[in-house]
Formats: sequence, structure tokens, C-alpha cells
Amino acid sequence: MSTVLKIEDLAVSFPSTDKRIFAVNGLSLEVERGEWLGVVGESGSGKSVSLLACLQLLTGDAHIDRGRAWFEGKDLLRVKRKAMRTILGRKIGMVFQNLANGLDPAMRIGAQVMEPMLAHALCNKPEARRRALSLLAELGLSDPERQFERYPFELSGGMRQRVMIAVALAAEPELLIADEPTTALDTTVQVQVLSVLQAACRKRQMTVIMVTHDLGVATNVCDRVVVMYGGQVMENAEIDAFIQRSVHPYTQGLKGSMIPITGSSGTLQQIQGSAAIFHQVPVGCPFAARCPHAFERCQTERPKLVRLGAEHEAACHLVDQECANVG
Amino acid sequence: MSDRPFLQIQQISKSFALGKARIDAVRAVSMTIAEGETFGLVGESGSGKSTLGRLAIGLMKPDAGSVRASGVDLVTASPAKLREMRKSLQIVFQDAQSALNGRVSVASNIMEPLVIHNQGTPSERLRRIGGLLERVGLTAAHGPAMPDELSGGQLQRVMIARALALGPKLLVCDEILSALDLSVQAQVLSLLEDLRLTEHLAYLFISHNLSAVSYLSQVIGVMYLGELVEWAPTKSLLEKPGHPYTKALFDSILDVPESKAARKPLTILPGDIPSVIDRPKGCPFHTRCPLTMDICRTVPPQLVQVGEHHHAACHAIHAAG
Amino acid sequence: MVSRVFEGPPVMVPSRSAIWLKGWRRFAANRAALLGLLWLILFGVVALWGRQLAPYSMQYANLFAGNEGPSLLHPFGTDSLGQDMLTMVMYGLRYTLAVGFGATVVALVVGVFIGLTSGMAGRLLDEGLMRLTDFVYAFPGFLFAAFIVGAFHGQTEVVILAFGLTQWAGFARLTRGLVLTVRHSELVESGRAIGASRAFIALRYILPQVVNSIIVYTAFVAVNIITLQAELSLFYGTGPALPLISFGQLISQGTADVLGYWWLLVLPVGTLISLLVALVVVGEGLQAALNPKGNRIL
Ligand SMILES: Nc1ncnc2c1ncn2[C@@H]1O[C@H](COP(=O)(O)OP(=O)(O)OP(=O)(O)O)[C@@H](O)[C@H]1O
Ligand SMILES: Nc1ncnc2c1ncn2[C@@H]1O[C@H](COP(=O)(O)OP(=O)(O)OP(=O)(O)O)[C@@H](O)[C@H]1O
Ligand code: SF4
Ligand code: SF4
Ligand SMILES: [Mg+2]
Ligand SMILES: [Mg+2]
Repeated sequence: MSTVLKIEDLAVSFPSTDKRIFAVNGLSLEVERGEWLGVVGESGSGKSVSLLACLQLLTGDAHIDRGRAWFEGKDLLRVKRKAMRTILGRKIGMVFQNLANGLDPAMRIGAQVMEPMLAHALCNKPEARRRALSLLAELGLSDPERQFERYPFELSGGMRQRVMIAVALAAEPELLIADEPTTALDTTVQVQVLSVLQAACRKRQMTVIMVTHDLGVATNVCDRVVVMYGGQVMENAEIDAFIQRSVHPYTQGLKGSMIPITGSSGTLQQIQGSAAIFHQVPVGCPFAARCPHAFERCQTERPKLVRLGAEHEAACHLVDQECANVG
Repeated sequence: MSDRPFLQIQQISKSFALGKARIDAVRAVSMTIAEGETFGLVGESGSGKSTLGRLAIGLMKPDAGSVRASGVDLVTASPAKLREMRKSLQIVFQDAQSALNGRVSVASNIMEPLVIHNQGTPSERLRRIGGLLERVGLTAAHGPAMPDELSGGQLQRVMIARALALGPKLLVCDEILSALDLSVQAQVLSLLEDLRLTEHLAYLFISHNLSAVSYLSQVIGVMYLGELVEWAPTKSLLEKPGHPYTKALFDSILDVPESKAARKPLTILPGDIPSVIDRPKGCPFHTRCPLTMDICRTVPPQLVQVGEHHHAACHAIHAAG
Repeated sequence: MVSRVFEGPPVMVPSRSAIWLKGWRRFAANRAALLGLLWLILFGVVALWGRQLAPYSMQYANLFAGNEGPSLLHPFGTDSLGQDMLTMVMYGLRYTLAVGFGATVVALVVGVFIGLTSGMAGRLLDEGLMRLTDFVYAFPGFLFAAFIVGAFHGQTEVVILAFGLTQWAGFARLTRGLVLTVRHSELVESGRAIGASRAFIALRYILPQVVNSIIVYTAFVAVNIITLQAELSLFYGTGPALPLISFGQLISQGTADVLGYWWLLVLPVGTLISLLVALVVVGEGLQAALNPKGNRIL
């Protein structure tokens, strides 16, 4: 298998806000061809910022402090904007988290779905139209021909989200980066959309990086999950290891805060404290302030990713010590 | 469950133009929300939930039917009366960042409804905003901040504070959780439940998050293609979902599996997605329902009682019951 | 039941000026934008009072001191006729900024008007106006302007109209998009939900949103127009008659003599480029100041 995207030691900050914010602090991760990678973590853990940074889609006041993002032998952080335009939409499709940002409000749906195919000269207009219609139908949109002529504001939230996915898939990209792609969908349509993505993974070896808050979704479709906090990888585990043997206290906390379907309103479990915003690069473990197991070393020394299995690593001093004791 | 009805919706319909044709976004829906009760609304994407939410608080006029809140008919009310009613009917949206005015401070955002309805003296307003911020779990210190300085969960709280400013009786929550992570979702849910118990607030809680809906709601309604196809007390709906679409909805929940090998395959509802323009004759769900019978293709099933407070519109249940 | 009034400690509300100050700080935090702004102000002063400030008059020519390099007397050197290049550049700035500013304002007014109408109108009118906009967008405005400029010898008012009337399409598209977005936004809906009047919504919500984006876009249109105009007189030799002079003319004269006398080309070109760069960085700075979090306006 070959690596499709390899992010190395990425760091991104926002210097021009009143207090500098360190959003991503040395993130490294890799995805293989045809793999479906899930990225989970609380709000503010830097999921969106790091992925947007790789596509040069961050705004003017964001600063990429260091890092590389290798894609097809090129460092995406350093390719020219013009070259980026031939990659984005063609080789890499992007589904934005924010429904408001993803679609052009002043352009008809159909034109937006056809655009990637026409802009990259993949086919002629009738062919693009045919493909766009079948894509929208696959994604469960009713009456695609009629919807073609509508503007985004005339669609429901979930319909808009599916149009955005169609735009991202239109040019049959090799890599799909999807930031919370199914939040606006009901469960049946969610399954349908996920199965379309799954088919593309299997048939064309498309690679998916999917950010999600929904562990149910992540564990049902992903091959591997990366858990992020404070702009760093906390745990990186193949899916069985993630489900059965996750060790990081933060991962445990995330799993514990899932809301059960019980039909009664008891107290809900939460990770204590709220996700921090880092005004300095965290010295020790970024999770130390909230971790129930934190000890001195956590405050002063940044935990390294420790290998726990063939495809399982975690960054936690506790785990590190246990490994040392055992081994 | 308090039984004093606050909102009574009867046979409302609303359609939108789609080219020369029309889409029935909401079709002859009737429902009641009691004071201090949470009505959870779930259903297929595009089935008209958001439209129903807007109709319920008079942000949109229905083509037919009536909406009464505390006995006042919102459809026929005068503009002045409707403005007065705005105080008791509020809405919170999914994307708090775009629903707030980003050019003024958090405090000014919360003050807007007070200014518009001329409530309190300026210094009273400032104290009230402080109280509201504390009530939703923020502090007065958040007042001077600009919206872009707060996190998504904090913004959602500001939205709730703004909606609470006029002392509403009903809050429509349209997908307010979907931009929030699990722990913030839990915080917002606890806040809503707390407000319901202490302030006697009622909710129309629209969400795709079935666990959140079942956590919060006393009653759950299910929509499909513009119609309310089932509604029942939460417990009854979870234990004995009647309508095949409701079953499909709950069966499609993705639970964490034991292992990769133990995953259930992603099963899509079979059949054709119905057109919203040439609606299926008979039952709207018959193109995809596993139980379809002949009668389903011709006769629309009526929403009738199938259990205690439990209503469903399905021939199969009627036949069995 | 009387609903409870929430009481708590009073909050502070930042004044309007405090909010402006925050915006200004964000702008000023971008050093390049700040410098760019100072540079533009300097150019503005030169353009307005250039005649009084210029060290020599346009008629001045010292044939004995032709083609001299930069010196204290002639900081930008002199051309083959012995005319002072700094004076010429200052006059060039005056013309360039007059055309650039004027044409941008024309394009802005026309474009915003058409965009607003299109965004608020029904389908048919909207469709028609957008057709027109697309046509103007794709129209070879450059050739048209070249023709007009040539025919009218670069007369300032005519040039302003020629550029303004061919460059408004971008404004129209932007404005229409903004109006459509804001009209159906959750912001406007939440305004209606609290009972705000139409006027309140238009003034407090729609207008600021639209205006901010347009301000940012204006800087980029100005860059476009100034570049076009310089190209025009450079490649087609069309430009105003003396004593007006455009940068294109200066540069094309400079190009002829570039081998021996670099200052004739480098200094006017440098001035022009610094003007364009200043406009671009100020545009970027405004972007950050008016729209701090994420969502790029353009
Ligand atoms: N434009 C910006 N200006 C300043 N700070 C920003 C900006 N965008 C993001 N941040 C900050 O960067 C950090 C990481 O944000 P990011 O959006 O990547 O989080 P996330 O993991 O995607 O969260 P969510 O689950 O809410 O989408 C946060 O602390 C956020 O406040
Ligand atoms: N302003 C509008 N103009 C035209 N059509 C509209 C408008 N608003 C909604 N519709 C249509 O009405 C139908 C119902 O939309 P609605 O937003 O109520 O669905 P929803 O149940 O909230 O879906 P979702 O779960 O995806 O948010 C859709 O077919 C949509 O296209
Ligand atoms: S390194 Fe320390 S603080 Fe961080 S997760 Fe492990 S135990 Fe907790
Ligand atoms: S009425 Fe018929 S088609 Fe409709 S849900 Fe019931 S069984 Fe299925
Ligand atoms: Mg994000
Ligand atoms: Mg909706």
C-alpha cells in the first residue's frame, strides 16, 4: 500500500488575534491509499484547522509555523496557489464543516456540482450533467433534475450537505477530506451517504479522511481512528484496537461521554473541564489540566507516541510507564 | 406531563415553488405541545421539520390550517399582536455563529430583543443580561466579548440566552446540537432540561440525534415527506415503534460495534426515493416500505391511535390492531 | 404565569468606538497593511497637491542636463530632454489616481446598484440583470477602453467612464451574492424571530455585512483598473495629452532607453508597483480587520 497524504510535524497558530492561539502543535499523521481514516476530538482540538492548512484554505491571519504535508511527492503547504487549484477539486475533494461556507449562495445547485468536472475538463457539459444527476440521486436527493435549478437557500440543511458532498465527489478525487459530512442528515440518509463513500473507497481506492464527533459513525466505517487534542495526536489506532484496547485517558473520556438511548433524562457523563484554548505551546501533555490520572511528569514533559501494537500508538506517560514496567 | 396545551397546530400545510411545480413541504400536520413539555421532532432530511418549526412560531404563514399559541391564532393575528406573541415564541438555530450579529458584542446581541420590545431601563437591561448569561452557564464577563472570541458551545449558550431574554414559553431548537462535540452537547442538553424544569419552558426539539431527542423529549413525532407519520410518548415509541419508517430510522443508528468483524453492513432503505412533486399515491412511504400492501398504493393511511397516547399512520398496524 | 425576570450583575457593553478600536488594532497588527496605508496616504497627498509639491514644472527642461542619473537635484534623474523625472512621476500619479479612483467609484456605484436590484428582485429581472452582468464580465473591456482612450486622447472624464462602465460586473456579482446570502441567513431569521422591524434588519444586519465585503473588494478592483490603464498606454501608446501623463507613457518612454539609463524605467515602474502592492496589502489588512474569524469575504 502506498501513502497518499503524509502530514509531518504541522504547527499552525493565529498570531493576530488579541492573544496568540496555538491551534495545531506538531501534528503528524499518514493515510494509505483506499484507507478510511477517522479524526475525532473535542471542539477546538485543531481538526479543521490542520486539514484546512494542508489545502491552503486557511485565512490570511493564520500562520503555518512549521511542517510538511506530502501528497504525490509535493509538499502541499508549499505548492503555488495555482498548482493547488489543479489539485483541489480534482485530486482532493473537500466537504466543509460549515454549511454556510461550502456552497456559493448565488449559484444554482446543478452548476456547482458540474463545476469541478468542467473546470478540470474531465468531460463535456451533457456528460457532466448526467454524472451530476446520478451522483445526487445516489446520495438520496429526490427529483435531482428539478433540484438542479434551485439555489442553496431553497434546500433543507441535509439536502445542502449532500450537494456539498456531491461537489466534492464530482471529479472522482483520490482523496476526500470530509469535515463532519453527515451532521445534518437523519440516520437512514446518513447510512446511504456513508455507503456511497464506502463504495468509492472500494471501487476506486479513494482515500477518506473524515472528521466526526460521532463515535458510532467512526467505528462503523473507519479503518483507523486518530484522536486529537490540543493540536496533537493523542492516540492512533486501527479500528479494533480503538474499540477494544484504547488506552489514552482522553480517548476513554470521549467514549464515556456518548449519550445513551434510554428515553430518560439522567445525568450525562462528561470529561471534566472544557476543551482548552492554548495561548502558549503546551509544554507537557496538553490534556494534563483535565486528566484524572495526571502526575508531575505530565506537566513538564511532552509525551511521545508509544507503539503498543502493529497499528496502535498512544501519547501518554502513564501508558509509557506501564510499557516500561512490562517490557 | 403537564396537560395544559400551549401550542395547538391543526391541519397546517405549506408548499414552496419548484420551477412551475410545487413542493408540499408540510402536509396537513396536527400536533399539540403542552406547557413545559419537550416535543422531539425527527424524520427524513427534507421532510419539512424546519418548515414546521418556523410555522409553529409564526415566522412563516401556512397555506392552510391554524396555529394557536396560548389560545391566540397566529395565522389571523394582527401584526401588532404577532409582535407581542414573539415574546413567548423563540427559536435557536444550528449555526450560532451565523445567527448572531458578529459586529456587536455578546451583550448587545442579547440586548437586541429587550430594545426592540422596549423592556426595562438601560441599567435594568444590563443586569438582566448578566442574569441571563449566568443562567446559561456563562458569566457577566462574557458580555463585552465579541462573538468570534467564543467557542461554538459558548455561542450556542449566547443564542439561548438571547432567546430567553423576553421570557418565552416555547423554544424551537432546530438542530442546535449538530455543530457541537459530545461533551458540549451534554452540557447544552442538561441546560435545556434544567430550564424546562425551573422556568417551565416547552420545546419543539428538532434533531437527527436520536439519543439526544430521546434523552430530552416527553413526546416524539416522526415526519416523512411532509407528513407526521407517528407520534407517541418517548418510552412507548422507543419500545414499540409502530410505523415502518420509524423502525428504519432507529435501525439505522450506528452503534459502536464489538469489533470490525462484528459490524452490521450499511443497509440502505430499498426502493425509490419518492418525488416531492409527484407524491406517491396512498402512503407516502410505500415506495420503500418492506410491508407494503396493495391498499398502501392507493389509500393514504390516517393517523390514528394505536396505543396509549400513541398514534401512527400505517395500514399494516391498523390491520394488525 | 408571569415569566421570571433574570437578574444578575450588570454586564459591560463595549462602546462602538471600542469595537472600532479592536478592528483598527487587527488592521494595524498587520505591519504590511499599516505601511501600505501610509504609502497610499502619501500618494494621495502627492496626487492632490502635486503641482505645488513638485520640484519643477512640467514645462521645465534643461537640455544640457539630459539623461542624468539620480542626484540631489533630480532624485529620479532626468530624461533625454532634461525633464525632471520626479516631477513627471508626480504628475503621472495624479492622473493615475484620478482615473483609478474615479473609475473604481463609477464601477462601485453601478455594480452595487445592479447587484442589489438583482438580489432583491424576482426571478425574471434577476435573470436579465445577471445575463447583462455576465456579458459585461466577459466583454473585452480592455479593447473597448483602448478604443475610447485613443479616440478621446485620454481625456480624464472619458477614461474614467470607459473603465468604470466596463469593470462593474464584479461588484454586481459580489453584491448579489451577498444579498442572497444575508437575506436567507439565520441572522436575518433570528432578527425576525425577536420581532425586529424590516428597517432594523436592513440597517443592523444586511447593510454592515454587505458594506464590509464591498470595501475589501474595492481595493482589488482599483488594482485591476490601474494596471489595465498602465498596460493600455504602454502597449497601445494611448494616453492623455500633456501636461497630463500616465505611467504607461512614462514607462514606454523609459523602455526605449533602458540600456543606458535604467532610472528612466526602474523608478517609474517601481513607483507604480509600490502603489499596486500598497493597495493589495491594504485590501488584505481590511480583510483581516473587518472579518476576523475564518470566513474570507472574497
Ligand atoms: N480564524 C481563526 N482565528 C483565530 N482562532 C482560530 C481561528 N480558527 C480556529 N481558531 C482556533 O483554533 C483552534 C482549533 O480550531 P479547529 O476549528 O481546528 O477545531 P476543531 O477541532 O475543528 O473543532 P470543531 O469540532 O468545533 O470543529 C480553536 O482554539 C479555535 O478557537
Ligand atoms: N425557502 C424555501 N424555498 C423553497 N423551498 C424550500 C424553502 N425552505 C424549505 N424548502 C423545501 O421544503 C422542503 C422541506 O424543507 P425543510 O428545511 O423543512 O426540511 P427539514 O426536515 O428541516 O430537513 P433537514 O433535516 O435536512 O434540515 C424541502 O424540499 C425544501 O427544499
Ligand atoms: S500524559 Fe499524563 S496528563 Fe496526559 S493523558 Fe497521560 S496521564 Fe493524562
Ligand atoms: S401504510 Fe403500508 S406502505 Fe405505508 S408504512 Fe404502512 S405498511 Fe408501509
Ligand atoms: Mg472543526
Ligand atoms: Mg432542517
